[in-house]
Amino acid sequence: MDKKKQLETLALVFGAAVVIGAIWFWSLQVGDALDTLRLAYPD
Amino acid sequence: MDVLFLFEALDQSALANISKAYGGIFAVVQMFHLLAMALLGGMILVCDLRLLGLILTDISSERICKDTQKWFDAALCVMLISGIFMSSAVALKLYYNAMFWSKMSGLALGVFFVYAIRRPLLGFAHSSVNPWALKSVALSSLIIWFSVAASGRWIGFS
Repeated sequence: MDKKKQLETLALVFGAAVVIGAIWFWSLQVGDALDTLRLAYPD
Repeated sequence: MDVLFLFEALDQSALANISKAYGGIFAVVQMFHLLAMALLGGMILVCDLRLLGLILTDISSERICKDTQKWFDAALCVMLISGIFMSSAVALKLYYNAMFWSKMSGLALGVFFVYAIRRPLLGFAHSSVNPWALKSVALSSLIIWFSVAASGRWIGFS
């Protein structure tokens, strides 16, 4: 496989991993932030 | 590997003495950090939105990506140098901050991505590259650098 093909494949796989990773990471952070807000303002 | 000793050394360094004692110097360095961040973000946005075909479609994407890359390199250097200086003021606090490590992980991932995948791939004629690969590069880049910037801001809230 030539270098360009390898980079294209890598870019596509990396892109999918980044999208999944970012959704996972930011949903955790936002979830934690919402929990903190709920504790601070129970009503 | 525990890198606490690095942060302890940074906390005791001459750099830390300056950053803790002279608020004016810290503010000027922080200004350069923020300016470099704006420049880096701007270069990322211009190149990636062009790759996605959303802006500047009358100019070739090769030219835009080539022109923005050198400014990206300069901004990254300024950010790293000013970032080390700024972190010396609160080195131990940062070591125990989870978002700081998220930011550093994102930064390492971003640097790897730019120099190992993005730049080599964009060095080919874009018309000869799989368009989905180009769009994937642009989207990955936008997500990674947004995450780095947002994690940096989040350090202040955590």
